[in-house]
Amino acid sequence: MYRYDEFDHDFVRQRVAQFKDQVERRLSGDLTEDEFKPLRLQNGLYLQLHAYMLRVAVPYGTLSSKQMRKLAHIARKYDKGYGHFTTRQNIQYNWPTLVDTPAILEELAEVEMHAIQTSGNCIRNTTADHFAGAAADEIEDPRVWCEIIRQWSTLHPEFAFLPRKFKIAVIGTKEDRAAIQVHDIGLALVRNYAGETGFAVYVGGGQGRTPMIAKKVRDFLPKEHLLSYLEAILRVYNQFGRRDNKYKARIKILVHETGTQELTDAIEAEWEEIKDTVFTLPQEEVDRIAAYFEPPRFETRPITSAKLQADKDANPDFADWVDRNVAPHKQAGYGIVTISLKGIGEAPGDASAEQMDAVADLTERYSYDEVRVSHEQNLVLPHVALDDLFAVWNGLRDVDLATSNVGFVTDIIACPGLDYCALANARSIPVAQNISKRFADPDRQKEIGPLKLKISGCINACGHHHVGHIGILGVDRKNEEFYQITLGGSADENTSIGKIIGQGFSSDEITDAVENVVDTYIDIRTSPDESFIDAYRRVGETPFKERLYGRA
Amino acid sequence: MAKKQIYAEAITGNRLTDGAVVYLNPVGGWTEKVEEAAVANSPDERQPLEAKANAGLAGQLITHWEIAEVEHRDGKLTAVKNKEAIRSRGPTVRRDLGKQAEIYA
Ligand code: SF4
Repeated sequence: MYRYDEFDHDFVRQRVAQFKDQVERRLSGDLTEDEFKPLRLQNGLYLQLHAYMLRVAVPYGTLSSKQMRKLAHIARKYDKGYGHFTTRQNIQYNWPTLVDTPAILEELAEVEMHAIQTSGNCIRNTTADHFAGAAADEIEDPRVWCEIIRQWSTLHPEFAFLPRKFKIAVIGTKEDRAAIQVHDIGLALVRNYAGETGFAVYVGGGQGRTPMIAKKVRDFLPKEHLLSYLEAILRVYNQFGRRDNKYKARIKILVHETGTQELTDAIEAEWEEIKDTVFTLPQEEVDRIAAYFEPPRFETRPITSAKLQADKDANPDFADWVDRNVAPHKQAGYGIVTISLKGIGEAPGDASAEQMDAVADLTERYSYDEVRVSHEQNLVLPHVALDDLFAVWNGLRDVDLATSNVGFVTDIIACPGLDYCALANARSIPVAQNISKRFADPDRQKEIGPLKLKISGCINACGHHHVGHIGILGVDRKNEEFYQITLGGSADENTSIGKIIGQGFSSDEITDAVENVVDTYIDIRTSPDESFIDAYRRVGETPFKERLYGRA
Repeated sequence: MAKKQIYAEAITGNRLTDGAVVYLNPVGGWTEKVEEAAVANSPDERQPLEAKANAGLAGQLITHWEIAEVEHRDGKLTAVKNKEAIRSRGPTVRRDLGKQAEIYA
């Protein structure tokens, strides 16, 4: 795993010391709130509906057990005993005090963590496939490139005041688990005909009030040119991106207004100028960083595990969990475990300090000291020997983390919504909880099959509702919460933006409405093998509309 | 002319030290309970409250202040807007914790 170098250490410690001083000056009145606000935001500290909120970066979603234990400790000591894992692979604390925040940041710095670049119009935490380094079909570990991007973008003077925030995501597999096509820049490691690896480059995706799918601007970019190409994209954006209107300032609008070809030409022209300059990545530097992401020293194991089979035979619940929550690993005899943070009726993405500690123990003991945060608000133990799965499952069961629902209708993404968020129009969490309870029966979930349900409490779309197979958007109508349903969205390699199906539903009606949508799908599918999204793409919205609103 | 809604406003902010939601009370202090808020029933009544709120700002007690519409519901002072109501009571989830634990008990 990547370790900070001297520069990182010094830099983070200096920032903590600076912030400590700024907090003191704020408390004494030397700084006004207007002066202080940008400073606290630069350190990830927001003011939300009920309290301050601290957003801590988890670079490319990777943590060690020590870091996870620290997150648990902070939840226990400085918060109300829990934290919220977000769709940006970060963790948010809902109740830190201003007075405690410098101490929290000091504690985070002890384990090489911080809250820098989690706010503001800068390049935010670069996200990655949460199965990175483990996925069976991976070309290369994308986190090497995330780390290179992190180092390049941290405090890049030219990019500290972009027209808007800027998000980059990287994957190393064909299957897209990181929703790269709804990021400002999406990078997919690919092989060309000569067998070399490079990047397919997508630009201008995003959600929010104007959802757009990124356009592919390059089929193949040799790896050594990654930074010069990103630099070129950012320069073009910095130069031409709109600053007059916050809602039109994202690069997706620039792509849309300029046209893909013209913008691609501008990027390529800019790139021609700088491609062979300081931005070319020396191979030694790439190798140095890649060394941190070397795979663990796996043991040689048989492809199948007799122990696993015996454990499954003896425990049907365990067998269900393995079928649902364990994915194939590139190394024989290992599996990738997804820990669902979507217990039935729980708040999606929330984890208690005890749960975080338990996960840290399992991470250390069974997953080569690595755990991941997924953008779907789950945790992942990337490297677990098949022989150890039963022990891991038991460890998770002890802390109520063994729900077998990954990818099912109860594996819901939900943003904090009006229960916490100052920008919200409606609550998300109770909606998620009610739907989760309605579909609690594991057999029913199995019968329904893969279904992605995503909920946002306002049009900012932190809950990714635009790309949910079923999306739910909370709105305020005359001081009442209403929920709009979109259908047909998807955030994988076949990204699509969901379509609003009709009038919204009240909070009392929304669970029934979702159930009607699901039942319609069950009625129309050609066979249980036809998934919700496939069926929707085949038949379109009509049968769903009819069921929800009558024939009219 | 349509009957005008009864004018009732409170002043709310977030406490500087911990961000907690607070309301200005009649003696110029800040309370976490909306029921204890000072109420202005007319623009004239609002002015002295605003002066007290500004004193709270100057004294570094709050981050900012704003007006919240309030009304008496079932004999209790409550926020009119849904968002403000949730803001005043705490999250509607995790009712085992914090302010909401008492309210939803
Ligand atoms: S989608 Fe809206 S309500 Fe939800 S977290 Fe984002 S800003 Fe807040």
